[in-house]
Amino acid sequence: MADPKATAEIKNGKLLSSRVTDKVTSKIEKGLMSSVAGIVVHQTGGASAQSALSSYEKGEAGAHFLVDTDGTIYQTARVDQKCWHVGNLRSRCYESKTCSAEELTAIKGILFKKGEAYSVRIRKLSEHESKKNVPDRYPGNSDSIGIELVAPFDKKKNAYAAVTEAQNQSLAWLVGTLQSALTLPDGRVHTHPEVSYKQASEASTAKWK
Amino acid sequence: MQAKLPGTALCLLLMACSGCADPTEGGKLADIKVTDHGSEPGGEFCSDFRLDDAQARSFFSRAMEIDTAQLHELDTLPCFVRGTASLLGKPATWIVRAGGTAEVSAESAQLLMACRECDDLLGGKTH
Repeated sequence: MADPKATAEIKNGKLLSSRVTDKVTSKIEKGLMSSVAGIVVHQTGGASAQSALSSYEKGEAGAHFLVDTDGTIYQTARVDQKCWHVGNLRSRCYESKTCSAEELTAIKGILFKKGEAYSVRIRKLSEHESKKNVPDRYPGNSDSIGIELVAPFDKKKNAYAAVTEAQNQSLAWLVGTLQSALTLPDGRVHTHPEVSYKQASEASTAKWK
Repeated sequence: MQAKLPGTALCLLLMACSGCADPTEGGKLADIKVTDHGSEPGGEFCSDFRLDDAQARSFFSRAMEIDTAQLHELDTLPCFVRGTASLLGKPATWIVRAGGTAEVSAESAQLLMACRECDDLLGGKTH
């Protein structure tokens, strides 16, 4: 059983701890991440850790950590490297209804632009958001750590499988450890659908507090 | 600056699916009819998303089957059009989302799909 009080330190972008297995692959690392502003929690949609690790070897999307259904934590990218794990960003002020009048006009101009495909509007909104700094926007690929929880997607129920108890225990340890090491406040940890337009059930049963 | 999955990567992502196939090919998906439309919370910007029967057929003729891991990489927008069809001769329901993803469900089979060249049907200029 994993030691809930296991210590950890970050060295050369790697989280060194008895609880973390090194599976870092440079193939999903997309350049230096000079600062970390948040953590985004995902679910894979695949049935096994191996299928996610194999997909990472193809070198496109991926996250920094992968937590298997039995709670095993794999580090798959260094925490000082960007990964493509978020995609297009939602507008934080639009979602929380806190935009200034001027900003709201700009965002509505993008989202409600007639004659433009919805997917293009979402991409342009993300580009608009990317010009802001966290916490005025959600953390994105350029400044967040991604944690993937292994979970199949049930096509019949159209939902991700529930996060296992072992995964939630590991997630809580990993999030707490990263928050301490990187000085991240609680409000900087999000599920994927909070920050991006994703299937609503993704990580909805994840608990890290 | 926000890095994201580039368009070329999205194309490769969709093309890489071993199960990729036009789901209307060979009558696999037929009798496609629209029944209703709607939006979920946060979908005000796309609540005008509509497809008629011909547009729905056009969508499915251009869409490719994807797997669940690929779904994770694509945007799932909160507005949809729903309908009925037959999948391999069996009654099925479907939902197309404004971002170009779709699900088809029959009693014994479910398909996930995505269309990367359907902007004209998904809010684009001819919509």
